[in-house]
Amino acid sequence: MDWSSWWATYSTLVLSLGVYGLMALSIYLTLSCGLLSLANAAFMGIGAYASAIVTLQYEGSFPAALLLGTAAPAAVALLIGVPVLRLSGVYLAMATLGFGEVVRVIALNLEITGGPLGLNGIPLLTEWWHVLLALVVTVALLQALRHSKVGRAFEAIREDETAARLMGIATERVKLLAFVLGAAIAGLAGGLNAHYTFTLSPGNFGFESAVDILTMAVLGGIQGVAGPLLGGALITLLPELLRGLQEFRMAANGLILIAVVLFMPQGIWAPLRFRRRPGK
Amino acid sequence: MLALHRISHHFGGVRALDDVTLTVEKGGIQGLIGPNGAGKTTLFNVITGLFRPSEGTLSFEGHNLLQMPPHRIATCGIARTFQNIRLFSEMTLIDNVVVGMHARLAYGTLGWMLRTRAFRQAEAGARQQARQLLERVGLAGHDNELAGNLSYGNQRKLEIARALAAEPRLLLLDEPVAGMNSTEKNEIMSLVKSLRQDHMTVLLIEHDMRFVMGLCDTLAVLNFGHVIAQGSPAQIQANPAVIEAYLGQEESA
Amino acid sequence: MLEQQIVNAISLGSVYALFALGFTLIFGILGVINLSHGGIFMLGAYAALLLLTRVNLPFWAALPLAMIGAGLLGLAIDALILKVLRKRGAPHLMPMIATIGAAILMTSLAQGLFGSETRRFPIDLFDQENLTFGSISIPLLQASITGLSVVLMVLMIWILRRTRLGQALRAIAESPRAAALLGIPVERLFHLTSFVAAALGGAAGILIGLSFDAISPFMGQPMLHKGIAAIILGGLEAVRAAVLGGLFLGATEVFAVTFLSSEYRDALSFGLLFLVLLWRPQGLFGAAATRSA
Ligand SMILES: Nc1ncnc2c1ncn2[C@@H]1O[C@H](COP(=O)(O)OP(=O)(O)OP(=O)(O)O)[C@@H](O)[C@H]1O
Ligand SMILES: [Mg+2]
Repeated sequence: MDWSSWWATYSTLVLSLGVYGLMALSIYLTLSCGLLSLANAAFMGIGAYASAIVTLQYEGSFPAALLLGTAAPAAVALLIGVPVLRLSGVYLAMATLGFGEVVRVIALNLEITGGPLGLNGIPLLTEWWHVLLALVVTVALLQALRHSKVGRAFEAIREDETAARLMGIATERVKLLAFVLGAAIAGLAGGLNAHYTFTLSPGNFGFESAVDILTMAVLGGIQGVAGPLLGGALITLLPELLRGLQEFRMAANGLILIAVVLFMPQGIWAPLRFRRRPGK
Repeated sequence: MLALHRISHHFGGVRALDDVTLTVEKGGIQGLIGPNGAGKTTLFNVITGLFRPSEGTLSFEGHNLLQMPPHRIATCGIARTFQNIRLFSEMTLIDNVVVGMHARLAYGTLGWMLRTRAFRQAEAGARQQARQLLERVGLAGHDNELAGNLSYGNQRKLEIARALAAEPRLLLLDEPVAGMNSTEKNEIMSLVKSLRQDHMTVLLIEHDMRFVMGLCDTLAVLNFGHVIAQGSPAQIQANPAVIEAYLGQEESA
Repeated sequence: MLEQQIVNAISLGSVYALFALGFTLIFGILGVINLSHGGIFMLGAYAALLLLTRVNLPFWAALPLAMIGAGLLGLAIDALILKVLRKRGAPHLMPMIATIGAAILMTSLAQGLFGSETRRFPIDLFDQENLTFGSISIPLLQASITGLSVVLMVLMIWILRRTRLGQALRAIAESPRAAALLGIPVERLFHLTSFVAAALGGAAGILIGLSFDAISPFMGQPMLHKGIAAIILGGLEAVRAAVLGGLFLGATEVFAVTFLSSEYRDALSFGLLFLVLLWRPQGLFGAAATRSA
């Protein structure tokens, strides 16, 4: 098979690998700060709609679309983050689940988002190198963050928020940063996604995708950026790998979730596992 | 330096602190003792902003602590350890200590994003200093081990190193030698003594009387949320109210 | 007209409340968000359908049997998944993910076994009669649905408030460790709670299936969202609050459809939910941070 026909067949899959890698990184970011937020799929949706509206209805340029696609969910995250992040643990999970539904219902009811039909005929502007570039920049950013005081503050908050606060960490602001940055990455992924799938509909970003994204991070592991990327790739490739078992894709997903939680709670990529010395 | 005036704090019906007035003078090592449940830890939690007292005023070097969130209180120069150890157990020893320096690392967002020189220097300096602190508390050579893997006594030492990393002017130690053997207790005792040279003020809670009497310049005694005595170790040991409080505890225990 | 809508609101709200009640029991006593509660709800409805159509049982026998089936499923989830995570002291995320997994599995199992199309209970289960109270007339079906869910809820609340079992459960909700020290068989009561909560979820599934005249493998997910909404609206940790939240949600939906339009049903209830999240995260009827069953 020559390159162009291979690309014609697999481009969507390859681009999805990158886009879902970004999504896995975005949820990794919030999880690494101890935030059990399930809003990332909704943020992806906001980014996708915002950027598609720019190119489709205002004939704006692609960079402008991506910029808005990144900024809009970040702004929403900033707005809702202040009250919602007062909640923690399971309460936050509930609240963000509720938020995801709110976003879906809004997209379903607004005219500018095309209502239940969604948006169609979105120009195909996403090139493979856009996705690669976004991925590289995001990974670089997250790595830099991880090895700075901000990354350590994330980790400290995840382990013990009270102790972190008493170490002089402004936990509210740090958590808000994680939430907003996660939303921005998800929005960028959404913007890229909208411009190679041609269509968008409110159902694309609901509970199921929130769960898919969470699965990526948990399956891969959240002890570093490699885990979510690996998890994202596996979950994206899974339907290809299980081709012919299409109806059971969801069942396989469910089983994987249970199995990972029970047998591999740290995920596939867990370098810390080897740091633990037995016996103590 | 630290002044509590008529502080009260209640949990439902329990008056954990009842009209507590207490000052801590700069430069000394002050002990806070009292039977179990007297309200000592609650007092630390009030000072560090975890609990808002229902009444009273609280100031530190002229700042009104009651209007500050806990992280601001910490950056004002108050650091503490915890009775029930609260380390970041999945982080390395050195990272635990560097977290303690969080507020002192001055590089901004662009600094870490672009890994500027200022960033790299600040990080390298922080690691260097963290290593020295680990050495000072007797944990040299374990830099990259996970805190959760340490023995109980070593975890207490790491907590002290993490608190010292903030370069506080007031250090609050909540039962620093609980669960330690006598060798370790002596190490901690000389460590705390050595803090005088750093012009650090220490307020410490401890049940081990030998430790407290050997170390503290002054003592305050809490019982049922009241300050029942204050004075030098010798005065406290002779105080009938204190003896009464501890005897009462023996009987009920 | 208004009276009729109030009746509808109470009827729908009481089934939501029944669903939310099971969900809250698990949350309050086990401290776990059980995201498979929607799946249990859905399988409860299918179990009743099978018992009615394949085994030809009468409704009064099919209902309790299906509830027992749903309860056993809940018990299995507790024994196979939640217990393992409890023993390990796993963080909150873990039971959530595992029960999401279980929910997904249940949905696709139901799809495989029963097909994706919507099924219905036999139409002749209830007489087409109306009960009339003054100017209001209520179809027998609706009256039975409301009556059954109210009876189940009152029974549960009575057990929790007035019996020794309830006392033990409340002690566990307060602190499982302290309860164990008091000699309460915590693990056994965790199992029992899982069983009862799932049985209530199954009952809610049957009643919703009757009330909307539709059963499908996908009915669990939206109901789960409604259950979450009801609980956030009411207050996360108290049984009374969950019941009030369920009723409140039912009323919002019924009145949104009546006075606005059916499109706004979800928009209104989830918009409301969001406002509650922003301004009163502890819920409209929730006491502050106390845990009480
Ligand atoms: N978070 C809390 N909620 C409710 N009651 C509390 C809380 N913290 C402390 N108490 C109660 O306040 C009182 C004082 O507790 P505190 O922990 O301050 O005692 P303590 O002097 O530190 O005792 P110990 O020597 O055992 O550490 C006790 O009766 C305790 O039960
Ligand atoms: Mg104490």
